[in-house]
Amino acid sequence: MKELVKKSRLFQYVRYVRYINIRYGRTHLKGKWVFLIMSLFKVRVYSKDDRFVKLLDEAYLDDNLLYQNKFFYYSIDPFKTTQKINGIIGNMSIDYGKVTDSSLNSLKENCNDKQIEIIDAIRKYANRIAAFLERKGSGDFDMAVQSYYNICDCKAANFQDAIQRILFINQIIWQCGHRLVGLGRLDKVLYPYYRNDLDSGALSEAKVRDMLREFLLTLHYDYWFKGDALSGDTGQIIILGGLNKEKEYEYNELTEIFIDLVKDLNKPDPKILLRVSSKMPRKLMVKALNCVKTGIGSPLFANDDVIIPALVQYGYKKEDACNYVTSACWEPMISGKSSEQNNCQKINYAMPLAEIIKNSYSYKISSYDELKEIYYMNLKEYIHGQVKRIYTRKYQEAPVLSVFTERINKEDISENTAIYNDYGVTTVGLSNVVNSFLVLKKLVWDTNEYTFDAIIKACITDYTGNDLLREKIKSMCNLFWGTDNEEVISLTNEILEKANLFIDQCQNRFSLKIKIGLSSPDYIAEGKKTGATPDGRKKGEPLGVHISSEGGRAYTEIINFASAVNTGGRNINGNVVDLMVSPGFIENNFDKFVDFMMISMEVGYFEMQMNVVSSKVLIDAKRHPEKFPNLIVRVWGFSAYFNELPEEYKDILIERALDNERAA
Amino acid sequence: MNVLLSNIQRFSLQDGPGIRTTVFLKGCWLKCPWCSNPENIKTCLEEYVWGNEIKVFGFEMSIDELEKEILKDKKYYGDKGGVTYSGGEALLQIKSLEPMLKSLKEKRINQCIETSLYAPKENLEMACKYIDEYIVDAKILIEKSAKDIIGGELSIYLDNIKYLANHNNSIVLRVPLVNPYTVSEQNLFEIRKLVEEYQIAKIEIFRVHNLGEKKYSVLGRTQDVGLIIGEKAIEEIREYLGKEKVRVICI
Repeated sequence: MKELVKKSRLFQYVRYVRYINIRYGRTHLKGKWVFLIMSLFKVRVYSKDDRFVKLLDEAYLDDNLLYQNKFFYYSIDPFKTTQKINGIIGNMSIDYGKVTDSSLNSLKENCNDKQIEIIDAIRKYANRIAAFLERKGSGDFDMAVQSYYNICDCKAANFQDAIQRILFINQIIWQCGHRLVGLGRLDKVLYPYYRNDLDSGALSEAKVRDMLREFLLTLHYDYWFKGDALSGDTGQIIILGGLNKEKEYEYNELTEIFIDLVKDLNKPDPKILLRVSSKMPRKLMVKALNCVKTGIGSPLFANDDVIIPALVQYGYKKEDACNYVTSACWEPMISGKSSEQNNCQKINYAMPLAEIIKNSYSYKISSYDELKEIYYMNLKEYIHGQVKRIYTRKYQEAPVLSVFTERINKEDISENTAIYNDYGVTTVGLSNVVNSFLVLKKLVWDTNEYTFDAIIKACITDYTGNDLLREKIKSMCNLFWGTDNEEVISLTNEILEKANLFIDQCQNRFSLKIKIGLSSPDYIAEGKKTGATPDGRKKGEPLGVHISSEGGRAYTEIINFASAVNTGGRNINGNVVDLMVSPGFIENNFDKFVDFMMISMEVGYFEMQMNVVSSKVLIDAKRHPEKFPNLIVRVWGFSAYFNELPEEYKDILIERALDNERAA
Repeated sequence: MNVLLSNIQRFSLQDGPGIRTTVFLKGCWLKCPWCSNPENIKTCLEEYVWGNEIKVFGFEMSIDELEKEILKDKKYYGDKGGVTYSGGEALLQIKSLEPMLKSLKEKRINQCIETSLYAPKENLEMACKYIDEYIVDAKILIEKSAKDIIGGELSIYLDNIKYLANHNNSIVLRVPLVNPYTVSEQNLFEIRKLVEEYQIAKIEIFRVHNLGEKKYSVLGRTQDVGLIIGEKAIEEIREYLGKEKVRVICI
């Protein structure tokens, strides 16, 4: 047993080195080693049964933020964590309404012993912080002290108390090892407190802004620690606005303040998602676009007109569907009722195609329909394999998250006790398959320009000596994926329908359902494993992801395509239209761009995000990072500092920006 | 019926009101040295070499297909947006387009034309039945210079604009700023005279760019965008033409 712990400690050390790496960059060896040695002495990994209680008892309270904050206290001890035994539930937003609108003690009613133990540990931790703050004698934190003392016995007393509680529980969730934790619908959760304090004269609008600014900066403070796969991938997403179950668009002053602040602060994290609808007021869209046009990559737009009906059709209750939030990036889930792990497996549509190419000698393919038939056979086998892996996954208990999640009984959410426990799969490479099929169809069977074998051979040799063919194919592909050509749309939907069917076939015994989406973080990693494909993509090159603007496709055409792609059935796990926009384009055509955004919702895209940046700036920043310390870009579902990205991510963004500008 | 096009640009935001689809029709009588679409001048397909490939400027399309393409973005057009015919000189092929113009008018799609007005008058007369908005170039309004520099018979232009002004009041005058060809004192004077005579309410002025350089080089021609014009000079021209109604645009 001890050996095992040791091993896991080793694993933890590696993680810290990575954090330090993120913070200091690969070249800064000094910082890396200093931190590594320090961590050897300070790191503690709690592994026993009482690990969460122990951890909260011993977490170090740091005073860094005391000196820069005016209102709120927040402290994560990065060197103490719990041991990873099975999967750790994360990548989800909790309903902070439960934190502000009830006392922790009142939540005990629905809790088992373990969870009650945690609530008591939280009380002890809160008291420890309150005493710590008193000892520091900082008068400014009187309200925070009260918050900590009262969190177990009363609901939040006012706006400031509500925010302090959210920060406190957020800190505990991170401290306990959960990652990619979203913030949920904060404009909605905080509004009653805001209204009350404003009406009673206890708060002014200016002070509200000060508080929320400090709140956002406090969440951003441990940016280096919170990043997951990449720096910036923190999952700290705030969901704003949205339709209610009467189909009215709801937003409030806080919605606008959050957007303003995110724009002015110019930080990649926390990020915002704006739930939009054709029923929303134009002026809110104007505000959101003013934020997007700065290049910050936020907000992501989620179209309630499409998403809510899709969620209802999938099986969520209507009132729940109207209260959706997202996992760390774009995968819808229900606020306070879901423990859905929406990013627990990936499907690489190009993999079965690459397998066909690799083993082409064993197939006899003489028509387009035969090609599709064999592909679907392979896809079926592949999907069954991927899905089986989901069902063998185990998650370790998560008492803290359980306390704040509505459940069917008192047991832990790792036992699938939340109201919704489905799984989500993200996918890559669909565009590569659609384009490959159409290239083969046109070149081999429609025009007889090439033989099937000739193109397969070109793929096997990675297009060596076939530059002309590859160029021809690439320019053909401009007419395929992402266009509103009927053949492209129907092929895309046909493949999606097959994927749905193959997943149906391996429904598990607990009838937990599986959702899939077109957006995924794995386009680079999966690309490396996938051989050359007939769409001109070379071996190892990144795969297609999202519904992206390529080849200078008109935005209207991409939206038409996205709206025609089936986002019903299981296809609800995030489908993002990913636009590359030249700086100045929105600014110079502002009113018309707002028109476009308002109409696009009616046309019916699922989700949309924008990277507003020029290739010139990106290229310069790659060469001279010191000149652009604050350059922010959108990566897959989050924003990050360009300088902190691995080189291959930088290159993809540069290539996409160039592609966008070439076409302009 | 087929027409000869060089491009169809959807989500076009600079060619008239609202969100539009711009159709570039090939063929033009003029030879403006600053032209930014040199591939649209000849009335036939033009081959050129791009890297290792032989490519072609221009393609034929039936008007049924073209109409289908235009209608793809119908939802985005709203009340203001629609289709813009540009070129080349869009009026030259307008007769072939007539059934489509009629059909789009019935579908209440706003139709705009960008024209030099160097085209047969009967074409313009036909267009006037269907077209809602006119963006009309004012290039060189001095008879001899017009002939020498852009190769146009000024009387055709003047005749056409007179007709147009009498039949349609939705005219935007578009003036390319090319130093010295279009911004000479005398030419600006003539433009102002025209504006006053026909009470033109909207004018757009723009700098000519050399983004077409690559196209020129593959076609074996050269472009002359004139001498640089400073911000101050642009402001003076704006003032001179009637500040209130002049918008500086970037194309």
